[in-house]
Amino acid sequence: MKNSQLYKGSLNTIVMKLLEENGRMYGYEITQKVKDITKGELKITEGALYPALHKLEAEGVLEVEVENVDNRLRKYYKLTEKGTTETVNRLTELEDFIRNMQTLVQPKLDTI
Amino acid sequence: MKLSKENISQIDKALFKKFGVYYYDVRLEIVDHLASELEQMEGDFEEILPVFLNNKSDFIKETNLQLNNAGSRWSKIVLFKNIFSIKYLLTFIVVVFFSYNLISLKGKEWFLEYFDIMPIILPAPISIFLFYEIFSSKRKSYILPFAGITNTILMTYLFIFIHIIRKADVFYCVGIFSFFMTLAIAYYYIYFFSVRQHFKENNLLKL
Repeated sequence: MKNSQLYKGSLNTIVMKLLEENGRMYGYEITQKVKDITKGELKITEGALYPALHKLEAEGVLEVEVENVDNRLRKYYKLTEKGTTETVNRLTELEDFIRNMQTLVQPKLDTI
Repeated sequence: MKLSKENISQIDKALFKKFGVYYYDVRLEIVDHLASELEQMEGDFEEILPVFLNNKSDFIKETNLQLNNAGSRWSKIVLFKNIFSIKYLLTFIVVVFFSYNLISLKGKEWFLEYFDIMPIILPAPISIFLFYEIFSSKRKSYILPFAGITNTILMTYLFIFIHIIRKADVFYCVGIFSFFMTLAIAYYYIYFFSVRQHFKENNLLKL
């Protein structure tokens, strides 16, 4: 992920949003999806992804399904009921944050 | 490129031997990530693998470290959540009642001679079972911290508290003994119902 505290602080929300849209995903798939959506602009630090997934799982936000895929076991992550509610809350919080930042940082057109 | 079972096994062995990823549950997640990335590449697996693993060294080490810590943190949370639960308190009360009546019936001398060592003897079978799991090829990241911390608490009884209860009056003797006796009983419950239940619910027991 870009070397910015802003992005690092949003990792959990990004993961939860992706899982809300895609149902269930595995680790590598998440990194690729972020890369695709942002056209390579944003790359999730792989070393931070799995600890984040495990932390969300421990908090009861995510649950896991294990499947045998292509000669290996794969862990799929999906949102729990609690996770779905939490995603809505976190996205609202993020939207508020973005709106407030825009208000603070962008010069208003009517003042120019 | 498409990866065969042998290729996957090679990655798994390299993680264990070269990078010290000792826990199976951690390894399988890293293996899947690396295999997914390798599948996007073209070329000869045998040639690509050493260079690829070298490039991924930081990711492997960081993920291994972080997931080991997560496993350790999780097992401690499960243990202490159980110790501070109503179930534990109720078991403690029953054990207090039982111990107090036993001392009243048989006397403190008898209790200290035949019964005070029970919190150490009772968990022996589960400790042996967990010891076996720690040394099995499919050892999980949560077992060693879980067994480690539970046995450390129980060992404080053997090295410190058993000497205290031998000198203390019946009130303290029953209280201290009951706490450790409850933990010895709860050790089984926590492992088989709390820890393994979590993995059963998440379909992880087949790992």
